[in-house]
Amino acid sequence: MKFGKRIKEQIQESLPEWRDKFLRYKELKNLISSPALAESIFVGLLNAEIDKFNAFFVEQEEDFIIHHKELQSRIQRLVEKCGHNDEMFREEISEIRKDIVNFHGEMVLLVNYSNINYTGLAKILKKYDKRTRGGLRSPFIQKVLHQPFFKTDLVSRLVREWETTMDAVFPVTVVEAEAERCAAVTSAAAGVGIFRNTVAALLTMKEMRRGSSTYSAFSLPPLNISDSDLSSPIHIP
Amino acid sequence: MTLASDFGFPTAMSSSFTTLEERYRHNFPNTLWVSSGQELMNNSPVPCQVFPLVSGGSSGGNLFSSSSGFCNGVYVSSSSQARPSVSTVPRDRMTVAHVSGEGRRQGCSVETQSLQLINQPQEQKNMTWSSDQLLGFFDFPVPDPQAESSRTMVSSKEVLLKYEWPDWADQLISDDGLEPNWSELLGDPNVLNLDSKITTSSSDIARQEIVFKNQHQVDPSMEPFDTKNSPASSMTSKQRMRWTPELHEAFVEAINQLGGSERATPKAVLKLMNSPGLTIYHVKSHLQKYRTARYKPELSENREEPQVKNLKTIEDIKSLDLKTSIEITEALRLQMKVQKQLHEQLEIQRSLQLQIEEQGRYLQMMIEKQQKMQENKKDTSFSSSMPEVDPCLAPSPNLSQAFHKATNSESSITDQNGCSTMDQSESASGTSNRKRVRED
Repeated sequence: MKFGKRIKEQIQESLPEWRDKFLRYKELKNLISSPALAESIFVGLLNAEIDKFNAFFVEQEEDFIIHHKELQSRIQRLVEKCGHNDEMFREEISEIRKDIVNFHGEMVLLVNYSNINYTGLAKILKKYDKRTRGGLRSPFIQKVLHQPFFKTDLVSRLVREWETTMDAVFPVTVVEAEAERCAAVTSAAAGVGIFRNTVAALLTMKEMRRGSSTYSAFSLPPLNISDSDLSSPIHIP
Repeated sequence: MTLASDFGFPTAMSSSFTTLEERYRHNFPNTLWVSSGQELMNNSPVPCQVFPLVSGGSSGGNLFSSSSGFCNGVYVSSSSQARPSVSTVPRDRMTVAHVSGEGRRQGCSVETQSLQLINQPQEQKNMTWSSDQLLGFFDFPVPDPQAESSRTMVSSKEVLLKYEWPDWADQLISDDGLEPNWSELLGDPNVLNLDSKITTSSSDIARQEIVFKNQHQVDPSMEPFDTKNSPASSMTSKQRMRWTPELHEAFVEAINQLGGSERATPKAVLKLMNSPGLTIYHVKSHLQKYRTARYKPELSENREEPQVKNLKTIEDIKSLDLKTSIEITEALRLQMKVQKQLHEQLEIQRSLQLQIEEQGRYLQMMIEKQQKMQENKKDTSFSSSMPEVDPCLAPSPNLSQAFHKATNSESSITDQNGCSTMDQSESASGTSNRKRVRED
């Protein structure tokens, strides 16, 4: 139930065009409790969900690849244009920096999308096996692991690239603590949608990993971030 | 009142599906509205997903009639192209198709598996695709014997029909735009075909492996989804492409050589790129995305410069601007930090999940091996009159050692594995027990 609530929140916070691409967790969960469900139908539905993930993921990935290159070219052009004359192009630099952060954020959210759907599938399968005392879960999950939407390596790689780029090209020198407090207030300037979505995702993960009543070998260990990291400057209004 | 609310599920569920359908309708991008079959082919079209409600008689005909405008378009137009075999990864983008039949928008939520019903009579046109799609759905091992699986299939259909049929059928009858073809397609014979397909394919586990292998990326440079069954040249837009930065580089190179994204044609780009497995449809859609991606930033870039100059001349605003920019920078930094954190955690979580499945699989293998050994021992050392011993209750020395080791281990993961091994072995031996009983 907690996961169901969490994935619902995630969906609500996510970008509009993403909202119908997530796992239909609640529907599937309710379906499992209906007695006349044939396995083949259930499997068919899961496959359909997987197809949905694959299609969306791959398309987003393609968009990201294009945008990635474009952003790189744009930065290059800007660097060539301003040289060391940062002052004159402050606006543009700020604009590009914002775009980089937002792009980074969107990619991370896609990785999150992949993960949350996988987790949901695993949970659904676990519930199904529990009800039917069957062995559907294990082989099915093995298949899922090989699905395109689960293979997030490329997107992760791009994410890390942009992290290093950000650090290298746009170093920041302002004092941290004070600035963060201002930043929380002015988050409107920095892409609220993505920001909220990201925070929601982190909180979801944290709760998911807190431990469940049906803890088993297939459960994840608790999350390894300190509470202060997560919650202090961040309050979603 | 939506179609989806009438599909496939007991009334209790129908409300949640209704809202789902509403969501699909509102959020559905325009590209997926299809007006002609031809356009479908070009844009990696969305197939219908029909929930497997089938009955003989006219109401069955009506079921598919409403979705006909779209579904029919898909399969009729496909006959003009050589449809390649297999894509167990169907070419759909979304799971819901919107049908524009007679100018009216209809939500059509149709499981692809029962598209096979539609396809059966058109087999000569679409055979390989549809049959493999079907296999993709029904290839999972059904624990019950074949006869029983088909029975449950039918019974679940009956359940679904009992709940949903009347309202939905009425609605369809009142709708316009029913294609006459569909009523022919949906007589009883199709039901029988479907059932027989299930029974023959459900036991074919080996096929299942192949079917999923199709979804692996085989060619590192091209990475199309389906490389098993047909040569690249005959693959149509149905195959989903997975682009890489390197491939995109090649694409951009070709574009530049051809004088820019506006001038370049897909055909020329395709030729220049000379990448095996890449089709003109892939290039076309990629080019479209590329053009869109370039257009917007170019607009904003051209707008930026005059603004910068204006700001420079106003001192007051400049000082204010400085403060805001610091705040903005910090906001960005915070945002970046949070994103980085999330990504890190996601990567960790993913590798943990992989590890867990890996270990679970390994342990299950071990258990199955143990069980096999015990069965062999039993066969040789016991006569047939001896009562069956449940291996779970009397574990072999090796097996108990394995449990012991696992539970004593300090790592929390293996500890949990030790506990779950019990579950695994119970379910594994449970099924094997059932199997043995049946054989007797």
